Amino acid sequence: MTEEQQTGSVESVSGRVRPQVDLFVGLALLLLGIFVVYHSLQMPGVEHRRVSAFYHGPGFVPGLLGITIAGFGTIILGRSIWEGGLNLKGAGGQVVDVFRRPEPRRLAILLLLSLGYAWGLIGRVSFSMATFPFVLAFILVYDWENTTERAQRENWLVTLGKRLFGLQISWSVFRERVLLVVTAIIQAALTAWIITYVFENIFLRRLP
Amino acid sequence: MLEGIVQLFEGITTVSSDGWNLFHIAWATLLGICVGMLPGLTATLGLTLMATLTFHMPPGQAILILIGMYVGAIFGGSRSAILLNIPGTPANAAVALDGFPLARAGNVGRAMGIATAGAVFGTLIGMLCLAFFAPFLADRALDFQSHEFFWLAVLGVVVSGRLTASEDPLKGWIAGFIGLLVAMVGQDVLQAYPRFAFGYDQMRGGFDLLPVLVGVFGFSELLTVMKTPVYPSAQTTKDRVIPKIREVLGYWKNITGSGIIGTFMGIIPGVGEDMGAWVSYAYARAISKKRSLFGKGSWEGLISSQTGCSAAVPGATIPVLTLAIPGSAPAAVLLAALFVHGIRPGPLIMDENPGFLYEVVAMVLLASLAILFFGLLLTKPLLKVLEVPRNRLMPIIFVLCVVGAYAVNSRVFDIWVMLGFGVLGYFMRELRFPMAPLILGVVLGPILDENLRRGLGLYDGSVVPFFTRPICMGLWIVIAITFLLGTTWFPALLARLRDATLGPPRDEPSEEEDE
Amino acid sequence: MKKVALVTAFAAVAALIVGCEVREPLDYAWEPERPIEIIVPWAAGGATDQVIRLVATEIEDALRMSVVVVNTPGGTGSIGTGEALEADADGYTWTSGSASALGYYPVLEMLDTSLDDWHLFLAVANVPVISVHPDSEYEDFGDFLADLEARPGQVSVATAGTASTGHKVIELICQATDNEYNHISYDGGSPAVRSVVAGESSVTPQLASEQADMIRAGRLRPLAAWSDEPLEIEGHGEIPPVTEWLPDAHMATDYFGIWARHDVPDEGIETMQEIWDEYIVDSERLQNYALERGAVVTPYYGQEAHDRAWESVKTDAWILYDIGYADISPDEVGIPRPE
Repeated sequence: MTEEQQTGSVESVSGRVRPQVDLFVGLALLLLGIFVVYHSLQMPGVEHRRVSAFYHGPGFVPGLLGITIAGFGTIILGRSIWEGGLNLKGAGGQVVDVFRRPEPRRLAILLLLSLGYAWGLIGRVSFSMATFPFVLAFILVYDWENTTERAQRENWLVTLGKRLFGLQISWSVFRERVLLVVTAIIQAALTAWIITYVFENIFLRRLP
Repeated sequence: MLEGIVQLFEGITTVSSDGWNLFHIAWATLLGICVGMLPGLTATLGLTLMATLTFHMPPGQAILILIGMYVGAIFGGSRSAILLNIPGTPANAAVALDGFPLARAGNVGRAMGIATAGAVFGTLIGMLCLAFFAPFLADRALDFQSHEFFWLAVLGVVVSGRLTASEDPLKGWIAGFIGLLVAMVGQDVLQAYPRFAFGYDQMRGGFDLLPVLVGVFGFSELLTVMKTPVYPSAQTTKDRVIPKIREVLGYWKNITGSGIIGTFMGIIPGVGEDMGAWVSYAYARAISKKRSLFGKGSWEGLISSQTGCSAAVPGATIPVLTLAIPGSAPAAVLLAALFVHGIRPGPLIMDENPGFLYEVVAMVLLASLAILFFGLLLTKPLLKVLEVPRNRLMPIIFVLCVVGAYAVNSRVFDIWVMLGFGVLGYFMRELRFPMAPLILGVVLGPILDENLRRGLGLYDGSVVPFFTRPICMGLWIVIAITFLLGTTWFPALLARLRDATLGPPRDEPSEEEDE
Repeated sequence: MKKVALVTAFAAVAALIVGCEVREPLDYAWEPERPIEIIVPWAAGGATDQVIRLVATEIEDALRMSVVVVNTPGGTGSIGTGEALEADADGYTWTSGSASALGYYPVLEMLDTSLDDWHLFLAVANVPVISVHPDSEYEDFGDFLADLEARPGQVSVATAGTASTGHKVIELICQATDNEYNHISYDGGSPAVRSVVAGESSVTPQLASEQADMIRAGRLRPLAAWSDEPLEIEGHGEIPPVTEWLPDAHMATDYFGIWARHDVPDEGIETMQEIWDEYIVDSERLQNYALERGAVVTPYYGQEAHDRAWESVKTDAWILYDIGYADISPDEVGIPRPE
């Protein structure tokens, strides 16, 4: 078994999280455990006529799990303190750092886009009307920055133009952006239409 | 045994005589390969989306498509592992160790051919075990009762937590226990008391597994993929892909050994393809004469790791069919899909639905033929999949995540569940919590809960049977050892004991440490 | 490669489209213009789901219009039923399940509805069967009753959980004979049945449909059917009715069927009645299902359906109250205790 301990799989850790961060993780787990145990104790016990013994009550297993999680939280907390987690100088920045690397902007935009789509649009407007702007916005936001680079590079459209029509074009950034918008609109419309059509007319499922 | 062989052939003829089935397995496996190839799209995600999309189909076809997807994705991941050094699915991480150096040395085609052979043979060995071992296990499966199921649930979480987070097992276990806790939400099985519902009607039903899966493996994966910079472009192949038969047969020791190891890893609840590959890789290195090549471009390492992870696929379906306990995270999806389609796997499957097991065997067979075909003949065209721009693919995947979460129960609530678990999963990943134990926890939570309480109820609250029943004894001892080996003090204590009794350890071969 | 992918994709789409051809409508009072939806308020693959999908196929054949089965599980079936209660009363939304549930939702404070809110169309009744392991020492139902008497609270009885049909049946038995038992609940009927096959619990009073395979395979021995007439299971034979031992037993019959709100236009209801007369009464699919799974085809609608369901409502509501599952007395919502 030593082999796989050393190598680990891809989902395994490549190094421990800093002790300062673990301090908060441990604290959060401890609180979660206490919260769970508290709620488990509120659940019907033997005094309730449906419950014949303490282990029959619905709170029994969640209670045990809560205790275990609180225990794990304590261990993480203890380990973090042992490793110097209480040295909080600059720790605030480190905690924030975990959630920021390496591209805070990309992540924020993605969350904004996807949550805006699923929370804001789905269920309020028809499914295809919600999906079209989402896909369009997604592609534009993420591909916009690539247009500059791509303008200097040969892409499949240039190749296609060359092969089919013998065209020799060098794409300016502007043309590249126009192309991006056009293809994005086409893709967004197709995505929205195909998914809606397949689900509602072929699978006969309702869509939100 | 003889009857089994007859039924096996019946299964194969039933499944393959229907032209539609051949068509479905072909596109499903091809799609699976594409999903597996694309970094960020895991086998679990592919299966989850497929499970929600094939919801309306007849059960046989839907399961066929899922099996094709599963086998295809685990195989497809080897392509990007070899070409990009990025395992397409976590299961292929071991393949990248030797596959990438081999490809860089100019053996791109040959490496992919050998990996294909490994995948095909691995799947076939796992399939044979499924065909002949599963009915036997199903027969014995009635010995697994409430007490045993309780320990199996604990075993799944503890072992999976230990193995998927080998450098910090604590985080694996925490992820597993959080999964168990997630499963507690909603009406409990015995008293129908709505736990942790906080007065919300929608919460009374608890979290459905599929939306949670779509969140954890779809949305959070998407967040992880999209925030990182673009991945490198692939190398192209110039040499021949189809391997010489004699060359492949030369690795027969690696193939059979890894096939059996992989299958076995698949059977253990919660272990799955990743470990199938790693343990097979370790085995190949142990028996190899050219140990120094491992990690730098060893053909044995390549074929063993791919054989191991592919063999784990049929392996993981063995407990799904016989015990209704998933062998791995993708198998958990398969289990959920079986239930949705009204097929009740479990110890009685050989009585209730005798043909089904062999139909699954036949599906695996067809899928392995499909990967052989696509893997050898479509190798070069398939590489184009790696050129699909992420920025174009990901919005579609996200739309499918939303639709998939909604499709199962037609509840908007499930979309929120998907989003919530996606964000939770993302932050847990960032904090180095593995996701596989979380999912196993969600699957195993109800099993643990009801079997513990029922086991106590059967004997007036006595805990003794949990420790004295024969199978229970084996299970809790394994759990205890796994748990103790995961702590820091116990292995240290063991080492000290060994030193005290045997004297200081002799020098081990130096390679052991260089990873 | 692109070609291959394209061809595959086109073929896939083509295959899906071929699946839904359009046919000419028929001569019914009501001709639906779009697919009809039947909500199954339980998970796919369950007892209700299996029956309703058969019924949906029959209606599809009759109306030549797609009937979509939508699973909306949760809240003991009340979430899906509630959705149908709130949908437009245009005949396009139906719900389904066990008829007595409509009566006892108010007792469980789950949904404010009653049997009178619905047009009932019953399809099959599932009969509970009391079964034991083949090696059990109980030769007949009488032995089981004697053992319940001899070892109060010790005989383990496996059911599909609190308030499941099996639970109601064993409670009815114990009420009638003034006994106690050890209730072992499982997550569904199938695991409960399995536990008896495995020898973990001694007796199961679950539905015949959940036991049929095991009974046929000789891995369960049926003692009695919870019914006033013998029950026939294909490949096994007849199971004696429980009334041979308990002549006054209240029947807790689970009638499965579909229902729509009472204010659905008359054409819709008339059309469904015609379909019931023409298709459901002689439905081969339902007949086969019944024979194979030990169920009984009960193609009733209108007053007849209402009266039959009402008997089940009374029994169920009161037994739920008596076992402490319901906090409201059925009296308060106008359900009298069955005589």
